[in-house]
Amino acid sequence: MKKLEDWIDLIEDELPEVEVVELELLLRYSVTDRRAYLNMTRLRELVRAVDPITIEEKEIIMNPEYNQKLTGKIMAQIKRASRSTKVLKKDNLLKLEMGSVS
Amino acid sequence: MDGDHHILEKVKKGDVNAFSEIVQKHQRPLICVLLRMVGDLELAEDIAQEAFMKAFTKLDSFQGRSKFKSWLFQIGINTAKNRLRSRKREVVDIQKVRLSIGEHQDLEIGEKDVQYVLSDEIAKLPPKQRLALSLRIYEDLSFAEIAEIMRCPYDTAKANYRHALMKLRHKLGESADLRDWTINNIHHRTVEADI
Repeated sequence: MKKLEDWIDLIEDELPEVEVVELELLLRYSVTDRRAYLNMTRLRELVRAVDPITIEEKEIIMNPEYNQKLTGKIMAQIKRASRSTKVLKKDNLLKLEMGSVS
Repeated sequence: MDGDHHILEKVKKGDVNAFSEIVQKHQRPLICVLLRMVGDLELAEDIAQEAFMKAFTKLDSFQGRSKFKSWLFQIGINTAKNRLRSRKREVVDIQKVRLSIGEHQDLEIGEKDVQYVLSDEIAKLPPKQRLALSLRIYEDLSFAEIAEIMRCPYDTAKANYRHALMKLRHKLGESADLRDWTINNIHHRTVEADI
């Protein structure tokens, strides 16, 4: 009987072709292995189905208007920061220039 | 190199507006990852905003060795961890209430609702395993991407994911046949517990 890790790797497409062939053979002839594999596949489906994000939240996140607003909000903050950085850089340059003159 | 590099070069040369393309492209998946971590949409938005801000200000240090998306997610996840750490002190009472919901451990797994058990067990996983599971199953990321985000070797990312699944499998009962388990078979225990 194969280890659970092997079935996980098979499901995740993480095995070299040689091992895939070997496991597929086992799936055909070993009831215990087939059951372990099917259980792991089902577990993955179940985990996917219990996504902590609710349907309502998903609807909000998928809404183009919401995304546009959020982009606007993020960009506004970034532009503000970018402007103040430029001012700071200018100030520093000015100070440097003045320092070199004096 | 992914498509982001071309845009990022423009940003590095001073075209701040070009960064909006990056934000548009990555904000949705980033918010999903963060929301799964913090469980509050408003907080997830706030953290995403901070993550983009940090990414923008640190852009010069981004060498392009990894995907920008991985780097951004890494920043977002670390920011979320810090926020959760500082929030922990504030929400101790709420956590106690939530913990009390999970006092059904003496029940047979088959009697319990699948959704309830799984959500509960996923929440109990060690953070690294939970993150690997979430990035793989909900975000469909490759193990290479997960490793980049988690700043760990490829095999470690994969091991974290495997351990998470095996732990869940163990908790659901090694002998139980999951093929008969359906998510439709939900009794909304969390709602009952809330009442």
